[in-house]
Amino acid sequence: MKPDFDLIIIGGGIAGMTAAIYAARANMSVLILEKQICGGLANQTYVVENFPSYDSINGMDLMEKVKDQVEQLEVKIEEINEVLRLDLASDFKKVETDENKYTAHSVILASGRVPCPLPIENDWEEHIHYCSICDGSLYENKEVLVVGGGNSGFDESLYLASLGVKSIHIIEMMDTFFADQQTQDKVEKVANIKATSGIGIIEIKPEGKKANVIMQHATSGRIETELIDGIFVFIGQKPNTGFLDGKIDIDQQGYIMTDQDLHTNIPGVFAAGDVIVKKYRQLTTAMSDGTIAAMEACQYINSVR
Amino acid sequence: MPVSKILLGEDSFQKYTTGNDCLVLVFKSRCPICKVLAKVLDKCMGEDSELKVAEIDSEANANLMTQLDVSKVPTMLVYKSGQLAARKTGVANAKEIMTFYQNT
Repeated sequence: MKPDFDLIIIGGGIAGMTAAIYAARANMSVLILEKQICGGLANQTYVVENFPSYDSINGMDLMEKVKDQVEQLEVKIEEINEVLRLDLASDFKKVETDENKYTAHSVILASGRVPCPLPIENDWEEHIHYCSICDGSLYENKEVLVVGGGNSGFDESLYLASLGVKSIHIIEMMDTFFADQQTQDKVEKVANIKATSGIGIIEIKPEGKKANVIMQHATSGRIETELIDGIFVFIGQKPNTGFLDGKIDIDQQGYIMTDQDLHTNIPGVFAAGDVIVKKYRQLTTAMSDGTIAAMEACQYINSVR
Repeated sequence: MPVSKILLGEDSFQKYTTGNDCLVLVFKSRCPICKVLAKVLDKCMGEDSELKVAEIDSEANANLMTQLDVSKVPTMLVYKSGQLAARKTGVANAKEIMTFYQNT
């Protein structure tokens, strides 16, 4: 008896697609299950400038090129197909989605991360954004707050400024910014972007189409109010591991624990990309993970079939 | 096979919605979540052949965006008997969309 596929990859980001390329080229039958569309968080990146082979490329364009390569290798890709349940204990791993049930010799978990929502109760959700490529142009000549002083907050502020947003205020709750110095220097040279650290939002009060945002300085406790048109939020991501339901060992933050060859605690189940415990989360490190996980999975599959 | 969605412009929008029950997706070509929602709507149309779905490109129809008061994409607009009855922003699955549409 044979399972439906040799390998099921859960997640169609760069880690999952790289794993698919390696496994397909090793003559494995491969299924990618993607909750949304392939490409992961890179789809939301306006410009990627640290990917070897391209000086500069739009994130979605890059991911579409990778997906084309995966499709040419006859990997089956199912998008908008969310994994609901897993049975990983038996010889054939079982994966159940909202549409179907599938079996495979091996599974790679590459479900990535999702953006953290703004942790403030409010009635202004239509003006709170997590994707500046999507919504930035709607704020031409308007005033916005950018929440988050990391690389995403600073990079996206530069992008918003390029779209003609009238004024951009970056706020960071911690007392220092985490964006790399080069990006901070670029932002400093843009007249309509200002950045304040050690300040957090405590309330959002809608005023017609705008809102008064009440902010508090962490050290002095001083309150500041700003009337703005929209908020863009870039306060990090959380691992997408809720569907694992305790079947795979995860750390306190929800990241999957693996050994150095990306084996999880269950034989035949591997993990790759942003969803695993690690220090650096980049496109290139996710590709490395995808490669290793696929090669280990192929070795496992050859040993059991 | 799902029926393809109709792409509306400022001229065709009024004609399409007048007197009708339909869903209108406001999208932007570079928006990944919009692509997700468009595929979910394809799924909905595959499951319910009576469902009428159209799309508006927010970048090509700036005046219409002001008129419809859209500040976020994707935005789904529900029209019942030609009247704007409900709106929803962000992504949702097929079941949630069908429930949202039917309960409006």
